[in-house]
Amino acid sequence: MSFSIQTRTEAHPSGSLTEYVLAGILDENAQLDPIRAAQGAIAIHFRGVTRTNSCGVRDWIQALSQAKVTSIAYRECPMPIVKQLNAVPAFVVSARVESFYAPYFCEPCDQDQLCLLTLEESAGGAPARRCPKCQQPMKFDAIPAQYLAFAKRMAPGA
Amino acid sequence: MSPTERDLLSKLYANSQETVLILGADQKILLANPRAEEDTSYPVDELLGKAFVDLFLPEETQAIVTLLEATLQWQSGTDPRRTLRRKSGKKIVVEISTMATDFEGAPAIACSLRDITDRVKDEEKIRQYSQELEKINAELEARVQARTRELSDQKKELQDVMNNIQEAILTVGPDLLINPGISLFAQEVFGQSELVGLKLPELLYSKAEERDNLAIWLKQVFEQPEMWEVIRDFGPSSLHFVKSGSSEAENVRDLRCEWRPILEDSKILKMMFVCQDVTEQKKLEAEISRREAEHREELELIAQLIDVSAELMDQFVRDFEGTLKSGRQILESEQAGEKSGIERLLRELHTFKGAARQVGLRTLTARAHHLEALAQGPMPDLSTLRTEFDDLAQGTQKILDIYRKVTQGGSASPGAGHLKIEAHRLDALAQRLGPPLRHGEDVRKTLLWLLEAPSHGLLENLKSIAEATATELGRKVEVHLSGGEERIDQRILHLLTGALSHAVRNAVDHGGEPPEARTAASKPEALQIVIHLERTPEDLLRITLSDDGAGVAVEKVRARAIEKKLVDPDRAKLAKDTEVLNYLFLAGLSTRAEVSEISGRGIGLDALDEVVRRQLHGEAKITSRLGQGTTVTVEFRDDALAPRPSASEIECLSVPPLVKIEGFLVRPNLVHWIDPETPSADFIKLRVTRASDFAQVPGLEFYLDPATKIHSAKFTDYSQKAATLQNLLQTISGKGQEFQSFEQVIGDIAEEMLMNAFFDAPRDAEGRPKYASLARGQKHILEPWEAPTLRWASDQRFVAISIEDPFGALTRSTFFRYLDKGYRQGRDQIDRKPGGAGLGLYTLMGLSHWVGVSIEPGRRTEMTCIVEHGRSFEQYQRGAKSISFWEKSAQARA
Repeated sequence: MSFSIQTRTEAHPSGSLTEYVLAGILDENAQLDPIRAAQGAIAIHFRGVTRTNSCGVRDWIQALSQAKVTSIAYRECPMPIVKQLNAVPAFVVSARVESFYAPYFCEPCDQDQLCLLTLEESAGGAPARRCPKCQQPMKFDAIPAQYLAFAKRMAPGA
Repeated sequence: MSPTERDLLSKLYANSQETVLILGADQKILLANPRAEEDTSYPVDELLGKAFVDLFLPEETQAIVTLLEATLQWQSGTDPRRTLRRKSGKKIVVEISTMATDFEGAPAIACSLRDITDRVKDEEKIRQYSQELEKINAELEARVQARTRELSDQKKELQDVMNNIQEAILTVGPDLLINPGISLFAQEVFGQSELVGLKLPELLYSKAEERDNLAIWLKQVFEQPEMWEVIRDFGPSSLHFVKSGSSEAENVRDLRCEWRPILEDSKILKMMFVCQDVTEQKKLEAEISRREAEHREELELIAQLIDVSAELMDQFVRDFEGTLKSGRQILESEQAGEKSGIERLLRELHTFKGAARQVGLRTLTARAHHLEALAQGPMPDLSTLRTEFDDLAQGTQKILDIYRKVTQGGSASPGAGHLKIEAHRLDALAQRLGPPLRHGEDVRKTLLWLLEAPSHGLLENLKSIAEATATELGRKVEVHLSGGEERIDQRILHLLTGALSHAVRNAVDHGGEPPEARTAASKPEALQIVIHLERTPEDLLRITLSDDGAGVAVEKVRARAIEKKLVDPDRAKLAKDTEVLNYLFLAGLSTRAEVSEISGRGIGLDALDEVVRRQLHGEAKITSRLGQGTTVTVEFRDDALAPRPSASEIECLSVPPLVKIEGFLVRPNLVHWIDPETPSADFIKLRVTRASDFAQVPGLEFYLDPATKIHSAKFTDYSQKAATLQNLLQTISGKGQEFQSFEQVIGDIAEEMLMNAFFDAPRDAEGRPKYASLARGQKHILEPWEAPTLRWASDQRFVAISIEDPFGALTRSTFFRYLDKGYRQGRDQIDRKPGGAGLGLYTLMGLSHWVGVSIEPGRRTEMTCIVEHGRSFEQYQRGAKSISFWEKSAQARA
């Protein structure tokens, strides 16, 4: 699956916000020129990123560090990106992680769920979620101290 | 420091959750981060140039000035509690940490402030609560006394229970001193009536090193309770305890131990030590082992009977009875001590030895030989001779008994020359020999060894295949066999029959020229094929398959390999003929359609290479001269498929050419990684063990159930990576319920492996990295012989992926250095140099439960990553991590 970046711009109280929607594998073949050329306030949507590799991570950090941006938001980070946020602290560059996915498990339904969490609600531990099907509380299917380590590190007042 | 560096410093502290200030030598603020504005309510612009002490209450000025002056003298300091007066007038309590530094070329102070107002308030509340509690307690003293009596009674009951438990139970606190409350049995086990107050490590161990190890572990347990689940297994689980002041056998006890933390609010208050005396159980196990050894000996005797023909065995039985009778008569006669008597005995023994050798009974042959040597000595001792003779007679009788058992009272199959033991009867056979062996694996190993077969069967099979192929094609062939006396594991014979059949068919189909061409070339009309099997001086088995056919057209192979894009065209054009012949082992080239025009070789040679190199840890080579013929040679060890040794078996081997390092990683985010190259007391476990033979340290197969199907891919063009990964994921996923992101984990592992193998592993002739500095995104094609092999498989318990390169360039120090910098997560975590990011090994370790690395320097590196199956991602995260590192030492290489 090749890597792609789609760009869209939306109005922002303090100017315009450029959003970058990523999809595919973030590896050495990922073309990151749009990120390198980014300016002003930007938001990165990671939801479509399926995998990463070490060269992709290094290239990402370099590209974002070269961008002339005033603020960066990471949104909808999937599990591969959360892995990098925890394992490679530089991956965050100077971004603010707004939301990310975490694994939950509904025992009655024997069903995995990926739930979107915000940084604020996760800094103190895994927030509760109910199964969309049976409405029973789901189990957070990860070790909070590990999976949410980045959230604890980045949360305001941490 | 340049203005750019000043900007960088600002950026560095931009997201800090503490106020960070840089002060000049005059104690005025030179730089402040955004958090400072939040904590002091002064805008950053106003803070710059302001005297640091002006931020605090006047009565604290002197103490702060003293702290800053000391810092400028390079004494880092912490002032636990100062009151900061914000611009708004509100006061907050802060903790100040200072450190000397340079800023813009002048001495400066780096200062951080942590807002601890809430903590101070909490402490104050706790103090007030304590006072109130003290008051209440004083009023309730009478009730407390009553409750104490009640508890005392309960404690007594508890002690009564403990006294009746056949386990030694005691507890220690962080000072490692044994607390009151000890089971009576503990006093009995340890042979001391007064254990309270003793240091536990000193009670349990007499050696200082062992005491220190236990003390270090207990210290870690008390200091890092959150690590308990990770490190619990590293506490001693058994002890060999010698009661103080005695070394008599009855005072040496084997103890089985357990450790249980006693928790309160996530802290470990005490550790409970529970141990059982298993001395008698150990004795029983030793007895079982002894009996197992006896059974093993019997099984080995069966092995000696396998090739005995019925006629020979019957003859031996008759001779044996005659020899025994004569020998006994001689030894009991008056001539026994005389020269003539000894000479007669020697003749009998010699006859017996010859008969035993003829039927292949090695044990009896050796015993008879030993007895002969005794009898031939200058002054043979008669009583010794009689004893030894009785032993020989008993040993022989034992073999005959076994012979009758396994043939169920009959004799061996007449004329077959073999004693057939069906696989499904093996366990039953073991039962018949006495009590069952404890482990089915023991039976399996021993009996697999019995199921060897003579290798001439392989040669005959290959001859039949050649002749059948010739008949099918209407050609003439003459096959000449030589060698084949060796006995080989039947599984190897089976593998080789399949693999070499390709080469044989190929020789007949494509190697032979038309009859008229052969005649014109002064060759016999029939294609001549010679198949030879021999043992080399290096104790390898070598099979050569030669024909006098047309030989390989090297230039056509070269052109086809380039056309098929299997090799780099520029390199291929310069390659020597011998190298080009190796292209025939490439999978992409060896298809019938592709090579039928090329006079002879190619079909299935990749399969041959795969079997010989991968499964038999050997080598396959091809040489050819145009017009004169082709020779395919394979060399391998005949114990290559020996039963997989367990880790403990390998560790028990004493000959030391191999070094295995086993390190247990600690989890990131809980405890930092410690480099085992510089082991310290903090490192949880580092074990160096040795094994005798690198062939016993295979890669992927070692970790999997033997029946597991293994997939593999070998390619030279890095752009094929994506297709290979897709194939890998398709074959591995969907085999069972897996945790979320399972495919990502497996894909990431294979991805990093391939990148390392394609870019970092290859070396030039001088051993320098060949492609390490290449940009990873560019097109990259390896030489055929540089190609790594990716393999993967999944059994009930594990998914295993391995990558093997033919360079063996990875070193132990490189491996651990990259892990170290990965886990430290410092500024050097990512490489900035051209080439890779330096995160590959760290990533592999982070994704896997078990990483196995086998290195034969200069020859091959195989890295295997194991992930345990599981339904839950949490379970995947909780899986303990370990590394097995195998390195062939210089001694083994020599």
